[in-house]
Amino acid sequence: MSDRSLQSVRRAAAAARSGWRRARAVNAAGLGLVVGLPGASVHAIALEWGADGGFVVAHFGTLALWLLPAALLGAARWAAAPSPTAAVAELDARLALADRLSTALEFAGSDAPLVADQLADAGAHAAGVDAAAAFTPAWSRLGPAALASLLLLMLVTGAALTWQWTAPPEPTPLEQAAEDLLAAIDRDRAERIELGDREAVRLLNDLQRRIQRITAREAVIRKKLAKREPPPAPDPEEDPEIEPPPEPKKGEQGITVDDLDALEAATLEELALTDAMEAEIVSELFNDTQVAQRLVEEFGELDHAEMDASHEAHDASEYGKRTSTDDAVSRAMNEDMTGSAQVNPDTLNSVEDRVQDNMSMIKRDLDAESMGAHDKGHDTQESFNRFLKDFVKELQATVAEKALGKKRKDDDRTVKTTAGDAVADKRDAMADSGFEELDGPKRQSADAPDEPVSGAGKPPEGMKLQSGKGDGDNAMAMKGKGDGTTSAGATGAGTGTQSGDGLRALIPPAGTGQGPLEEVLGTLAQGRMPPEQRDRMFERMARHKVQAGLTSEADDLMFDYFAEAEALIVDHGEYLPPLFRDYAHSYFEAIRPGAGNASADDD
Amino acid sequence: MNPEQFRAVFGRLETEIHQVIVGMRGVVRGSLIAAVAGGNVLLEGVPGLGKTRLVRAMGDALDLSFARIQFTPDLMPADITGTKIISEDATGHRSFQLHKGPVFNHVVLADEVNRATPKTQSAMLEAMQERQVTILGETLPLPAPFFVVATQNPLEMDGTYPLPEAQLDRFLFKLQVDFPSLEELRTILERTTTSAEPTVNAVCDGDTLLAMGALAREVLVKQDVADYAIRLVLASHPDGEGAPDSTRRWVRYGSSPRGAQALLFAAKIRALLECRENASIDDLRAVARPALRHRIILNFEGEAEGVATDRIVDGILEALPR
Repeated sequence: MSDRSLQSVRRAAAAARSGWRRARAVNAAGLGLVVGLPGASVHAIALEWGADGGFVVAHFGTLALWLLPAALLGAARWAAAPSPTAAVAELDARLALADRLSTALEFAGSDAPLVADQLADAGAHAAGVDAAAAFTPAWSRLGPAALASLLLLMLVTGAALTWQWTAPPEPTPLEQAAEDLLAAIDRDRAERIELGDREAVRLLNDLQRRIQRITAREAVIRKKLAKREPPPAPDPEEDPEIEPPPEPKKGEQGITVDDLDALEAATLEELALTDAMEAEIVSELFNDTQVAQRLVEEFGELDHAEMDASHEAHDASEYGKRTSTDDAVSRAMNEDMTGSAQVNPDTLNSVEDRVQDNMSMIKRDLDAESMGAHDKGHDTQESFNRFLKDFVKELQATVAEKALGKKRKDDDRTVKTTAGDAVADKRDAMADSGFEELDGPKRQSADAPDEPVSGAGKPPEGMKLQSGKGDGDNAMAMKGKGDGTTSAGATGAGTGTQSGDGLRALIPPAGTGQGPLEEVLGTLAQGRMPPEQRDRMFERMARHKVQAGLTSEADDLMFDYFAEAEALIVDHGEYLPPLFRDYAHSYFEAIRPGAGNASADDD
Repeated sequence: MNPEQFRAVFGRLETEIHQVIVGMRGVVRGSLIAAVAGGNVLLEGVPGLGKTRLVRAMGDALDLSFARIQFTPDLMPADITGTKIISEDATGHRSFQLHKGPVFNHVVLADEVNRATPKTQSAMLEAMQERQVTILGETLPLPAPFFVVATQNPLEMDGTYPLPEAQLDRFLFKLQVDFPSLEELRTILERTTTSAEPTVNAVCDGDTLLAMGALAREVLVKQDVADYAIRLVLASHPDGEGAPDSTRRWVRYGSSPRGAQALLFAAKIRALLECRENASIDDLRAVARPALRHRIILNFEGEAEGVATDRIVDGILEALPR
């Protein structure tokens, strides 16, 4: 009886030991999963943000390392098997056996009076014990946690594979400047609120909204550029029959690095906004800005006040002089702002000079309070103008940099004028050597006659990239659409080598097999814009015009420019890489006056 | 005696006592456990709850001699232990003759023990611990079995002398006598206001009680359980191992080793009553309150905040899980 009871107790102890060992290992592994799976989720997020290309399927192998804690913990707990005494004590506790089994094992073999009775009691209890059931893994505790961790990992990885997250870019100098300006506006607005200057607060609010819109606009352009993929790398096996270009003949000079640099500079000059275009944009934004309008109104009010004061204090001849000067300044400013007149930096500077003269005249006669208000408004306007100019320049630099993948030199405003000739001479020399010229759009050599810039009454034939030498300062070689009106950016034929050579010089050689020159100049853009897409583009532009209520000549001019640019891109699509076309689109999107009108509507 | 007989006798004792004692099951069982263990019991409760009646019923059921001593401030030690007086026989010879006090009984009820002076209270010390009394240099053994059941009123503290720690430590259990419930009160009224007054029959004698105590000492205690009793006692000291925050904050001095003895012996008896021949940690936890509550001395902060020692014991049990 005692032996059977003891065996019963020992069997229960053995079962308890193995069951507890297994449960401890599973629990440890579950704990490792609860810790490891969230770690894997965090790792996946880090890969999505930090790794090139974000999180990809191949990263699952890396994430599998996070299962190691579970495996190690489980193995360690399995290896650290509990002692039989501890196991049976745990079994006593779990089954509420009041230490019967553990006491029986401890006193087995003892001759104490009650040992036999106690062993019989323990044996009876051990016979009905299901030790394995007493040591089930803690699913109720670890199961939901592990399942939640697994779901979290699946969600994170699934989202990472579905959407490409990117780390927030660091603010550009322009964005930083905008933030600084917004902060300054906030501070100034707080002061104005304390002073009760509601008009100033309203103006500051308007200025802040406009800065925010400009910043958002820049962000949109940056996103578009970021989404653009670089042209595919040329596959040398695609056309194995291409032959290397022949060595230049003796006495002939091949395309040198200087030539390529010159072509690059010329191309950069094409991509850069001219001063006239910049002035056009600035004047457009200036005209649209409520702040500017308010300042003009304030200027007028002060002017009238000054006139009244002068009329009473001085003789009539002084009054008449100043009035005539003011009118001249106002006319010049209005002409510049509306774009109805031909704008160039000289014009703008002369206008500014006249404004300064007038301001000086007014300052002499106004009282201190009016002078202070006027100076403040003037400073605000000047600050805003500087900001807009900087913004446009920064935008140009950023777009050019993104488009070309190179840093634009700030001092490259003056472009070498001999590059076009060198390329043309080289092309002629190569043609003499037997290389064929490509079909399609023809480039104008340096000897080609310059196109009339104003293009009065001449229907457009599609914009062509010009390499002609001109005496103008502006390098924007796009021709106007021929209604006889002149506008900013179309006043000169350009001094740079605005030719397709310049564009092609930037393309790495790929060997398309279409001619020796192409082999040197590299692979060009593929395809051209289909007519349907072009029509949709024009429709969209027209819709923008209608929605924005564009009626000014500047708007029409911008639209015409865009149409001409699109036509030029279509005609020369084979020679233009996609980035350049996108640059042109983004550029005209950026300067589209519809946003300004919409903002005005908001006001 | 075997465990089954133990449980049978114990059950009969409880049944007989409950003929006259309504409710108070924990107090009755604790008192009987103390009687089996040969320990003394301190009953604490307001007057009129049946403490005296309980002790008398125990004496009747155990078929033991019973004496009741009402402790008062003018009670002298000789009133408890007895004394020798000069007596003259027929021949005219004078000699000292021993007059035994009420302590020479199996069951002694020390009613309101805290109303006697410390000197008188200390007269009980030797009897309670050594089971003997020394009178005028002569040491006399007390009858076996012997145990003291003392009572004290927790409310009327004016003119009382709190029991010294040394005497408190001699009590195996300190039992709280709670006020009876509605049903219990109704039963009490039914039993005590009619002509048929219930009586207690003797179901056990002194020898049987001693045999029960001897059997209880044979209950198996594995090392883990004994260690747990030691840990409980150590945790009752503010600087002891495993002492919880409540102990460290409110206790000046914890249980003595007699506390561990009381714990283990009471746990053994409880194990027998639970149909086991081995004591378990659960038994220790079950008897921890009555065995330790009077052995824990609170510090000034504990006294000022009115902390009950039961709270200290509960904190220890919570800090020392199985």
